[in-house]
Amino acid sequence: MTKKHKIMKTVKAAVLWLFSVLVFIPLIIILLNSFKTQGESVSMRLSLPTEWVFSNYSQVMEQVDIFGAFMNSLVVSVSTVIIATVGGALCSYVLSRRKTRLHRGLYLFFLVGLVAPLNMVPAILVLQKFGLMDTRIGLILLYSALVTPFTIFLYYGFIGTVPREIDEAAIIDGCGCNSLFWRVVFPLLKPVTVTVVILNFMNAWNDFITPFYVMNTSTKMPMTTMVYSFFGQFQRSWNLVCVIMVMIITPIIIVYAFGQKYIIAGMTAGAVKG
Amino acid sequence: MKRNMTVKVLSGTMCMAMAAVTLAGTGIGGMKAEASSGEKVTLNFAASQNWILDVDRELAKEFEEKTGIAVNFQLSPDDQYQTIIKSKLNTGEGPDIFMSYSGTKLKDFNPEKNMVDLSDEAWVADQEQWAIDSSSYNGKLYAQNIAGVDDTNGVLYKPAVFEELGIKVPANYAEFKEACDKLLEAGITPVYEFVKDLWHTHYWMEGASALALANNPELYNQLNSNEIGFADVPEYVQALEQLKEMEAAGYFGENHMSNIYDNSYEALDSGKYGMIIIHGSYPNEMKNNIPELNPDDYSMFPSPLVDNEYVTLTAGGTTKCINAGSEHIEEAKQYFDFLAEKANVEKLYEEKPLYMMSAVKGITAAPTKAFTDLMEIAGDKNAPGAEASVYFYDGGKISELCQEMFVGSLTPQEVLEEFDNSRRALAKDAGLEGF
Amino acid sequence: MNHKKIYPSYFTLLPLILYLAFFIIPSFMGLALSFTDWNAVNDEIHFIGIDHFIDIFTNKRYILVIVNTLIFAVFTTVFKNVIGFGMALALNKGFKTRNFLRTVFFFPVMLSPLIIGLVFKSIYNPEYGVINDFLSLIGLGGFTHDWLGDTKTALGAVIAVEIWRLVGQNMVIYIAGLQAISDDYLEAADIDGASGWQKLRYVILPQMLPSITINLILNLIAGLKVFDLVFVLTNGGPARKTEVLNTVIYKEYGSGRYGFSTALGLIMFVFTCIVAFSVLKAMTKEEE
Repeated sequence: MTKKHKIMKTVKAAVLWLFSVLVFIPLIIILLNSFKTQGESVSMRLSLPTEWVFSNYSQVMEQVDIFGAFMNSLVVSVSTVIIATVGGALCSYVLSRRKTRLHRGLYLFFLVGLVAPLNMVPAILVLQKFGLMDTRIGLILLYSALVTPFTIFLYYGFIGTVPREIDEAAIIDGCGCNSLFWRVVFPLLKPVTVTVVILNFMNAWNDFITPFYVMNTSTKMPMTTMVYSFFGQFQRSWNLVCVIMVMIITPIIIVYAFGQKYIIAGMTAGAVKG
Repeated sequence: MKRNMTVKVLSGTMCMAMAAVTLAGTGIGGMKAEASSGEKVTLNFAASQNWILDVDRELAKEFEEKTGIAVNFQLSPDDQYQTIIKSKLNTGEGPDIFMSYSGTKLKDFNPEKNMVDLSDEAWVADQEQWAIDSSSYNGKLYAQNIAGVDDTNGVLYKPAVFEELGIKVPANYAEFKEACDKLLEAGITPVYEFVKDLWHTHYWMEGASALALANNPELYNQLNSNEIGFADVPEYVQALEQLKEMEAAGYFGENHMSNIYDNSYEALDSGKYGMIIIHGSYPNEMKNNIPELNPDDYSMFPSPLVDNEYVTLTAGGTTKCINAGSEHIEEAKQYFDFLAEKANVEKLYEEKPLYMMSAVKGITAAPTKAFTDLMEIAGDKNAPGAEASVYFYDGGKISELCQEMFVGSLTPQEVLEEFDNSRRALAKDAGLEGF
Repeated sequence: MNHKKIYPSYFTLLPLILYLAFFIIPSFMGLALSFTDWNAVNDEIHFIGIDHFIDIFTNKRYILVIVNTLIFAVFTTVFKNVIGFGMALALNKGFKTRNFLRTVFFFPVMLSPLIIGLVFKSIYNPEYGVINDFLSLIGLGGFTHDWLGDTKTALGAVIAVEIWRLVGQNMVIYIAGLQAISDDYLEAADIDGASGWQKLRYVILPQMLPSITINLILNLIAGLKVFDLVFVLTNGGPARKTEVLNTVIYKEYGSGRYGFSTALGLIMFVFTCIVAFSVLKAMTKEEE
């Protein structure tokens, strides 16, 4: 390697590491402020707490049912992931393999969802019709519907790269349509499945608007809505808000840490012609 | 076309979708929320996040112990509350009890359809007349205002600082400017203004409103029948012109576009800023945030724009209503009875130091010194503000337009014209006569 | 082989039904009502034709919002793509810590816009914010600024946060695209003595067109539909300089003018479709 190359490489590394600092700063601000006193946290500075108030965490746990909210979020997010992922995988598989005009049209119809706006009043009416207002199931089905277009978009692209010969070989070996998909094809979709799981989980987990419309009972509210418990128009406890934020972000980090190595492979789907 | 018709058509489409679901064998149609099983009643009580404090929860607990009826608070973020409640009421998903701003603001929630008439409740007899007036619409009482006045505004200042700098309490706009200049000279930013939080900037207009009403007793009626608009009222135009002048003179400092309410306590306590236009209970709030502070160190005078000397009472405090579509109207009424009991009202006033004037006869609230001073200066010069008296008056809209005025993209006249436009569009949709 | 049997249509049912019932029906029901005076206060709904659309297109205040939305969409798209592409090139191979850095750069995509908005609000704060603190620290105190409060910088500041948030997603799609390029091409170019720039221009870019297409479309859609972040950061202010279609739709919806708000929604929908479709058309042509 030439000297010029080496210098270039070092510069490149330095720039990239500098960039990564930019990613961390907001997270550090949240973490540090979660240990400050209310007064000190008002300015949300990037500075060490003058006095470490670890009791902020226990205070939050005393004031709001953070465990209940956590469970709500978990149940809703995990169920959304399962419904949207399984449904999306099966659906895209058929749409992608059967290239009739109808199936192509159906695929495009799903893509409309990437663009169309959701209106909350009719959405509430629909949930009402099914008797699903104020239920976690209602929220789960709503989220599942909302993430379906992008899920199908990703799966459809990826499945196009899986050779059909595999299907044919499996059929000759005597597989039924179900076992063909679940035993042969689905394992090959692992990268995109992981990507879809992560993205869907995060979408359901991070939403902070829909629950207020769909839920009436406060004990069924998810984690993100707890952020509002500590600031109103007239008073904000940023330190406690930061505690909640830490609690919202931590599971995301865990899910991400397990799945991150597949993200790039999964996104390959997007790079393939849809 | 009637609403019912639309709903029917919509339902038809949905039934088809539902049939599809059932055919597919998922069968979610039969699933229900844990509905009223008949035994224990829970009242859903919707409010904006910061309207409910510990004492409200305590009272609800006591009510539950006494009657077995539970109260579940549904809180939503301040900037979303109105939107959420409107959507829910519109779809029949409304809570049993919800809060609204008082006065003409009740109209936002369509009181004739959505609110239970409370005119004949026992506790009404104990209410002060202004509390009844501010919770009534078309002659019927639709809400219970126990809380009392919580939003009479004045300009807050520290008498000690004024004395030291030789500033006398301004009684008109010219004197106010003098005071500002003296503060500037002393290195103090005269006014803490936070344009970003939309609920605040329009406070400056309230004094002008009261004055305009004094000059023309028919003002609010004329605005409500669309005979005139705000742009036709000279007091409003002048108030905005002066507001713009204040901004241009640097009285708001450099950061008024991104200042936020949170930082106001510290900004004033530290002496960086000299004044703020704010509600009378503010010194109590300051003490909550800065424990060593003494609320009595502060005083107030009426908003000086347009040489105004009036204060507005019962401007837009919050009040609570029972949803006419609720299945538990009787239980909700019981809860209102409970809250109106003397001991409970006293407890509320004691532990929620926001209320400056009692809504209930024979009970006194605990006003701040600033509020008392303000009332003394104003004497009998008080009047209802436009916010609670003019249909679809949206203070946030004025504040938003004021931002555009400060950066020079709208003139004061245009601010009011645009405000009139948006008000008229809403009134027209609502089918108000004259629009 | 019998396609109907091995790829049975009932596999598509679950998402199709959910999508129809909980997304398409409410969405189109709303859009259809944009031709009425449907609102929160009045019980009667009247058909009013295209009145709302006339109101919108003859009012320069709404035109301004459409312009803001376009600026937001175009700038975020360009920067996310250029920076994302650069990062992808840098992190594609031959870099020891590349996996870790990729993971880090993608992470903001995972965070709630609510949290991002709240934190960046404080980062931009003129008195306490990290940015101004940092500028003063390195002796550039003269550049400190009220980033979100000044009408000149507000939209740029919001755009910067959106780029920060989603540049990782672009990077990842580009890395995926780069990895699909066979080494043979690059080696052949090396043998021909191509410079780094020539390799990029004549070998890499043409093969990256599908990735570029996807990124352009996804970013434009996201840009035109932006809501959460603007809502939390500025809510359209100061002086409407960051007001975008979705914040106006939300505000009109909040004031109870449902019909009017859905009319704006319909405009956004049609608009986004047109933009996405033209980009797709143009790019597919380029690919061929």
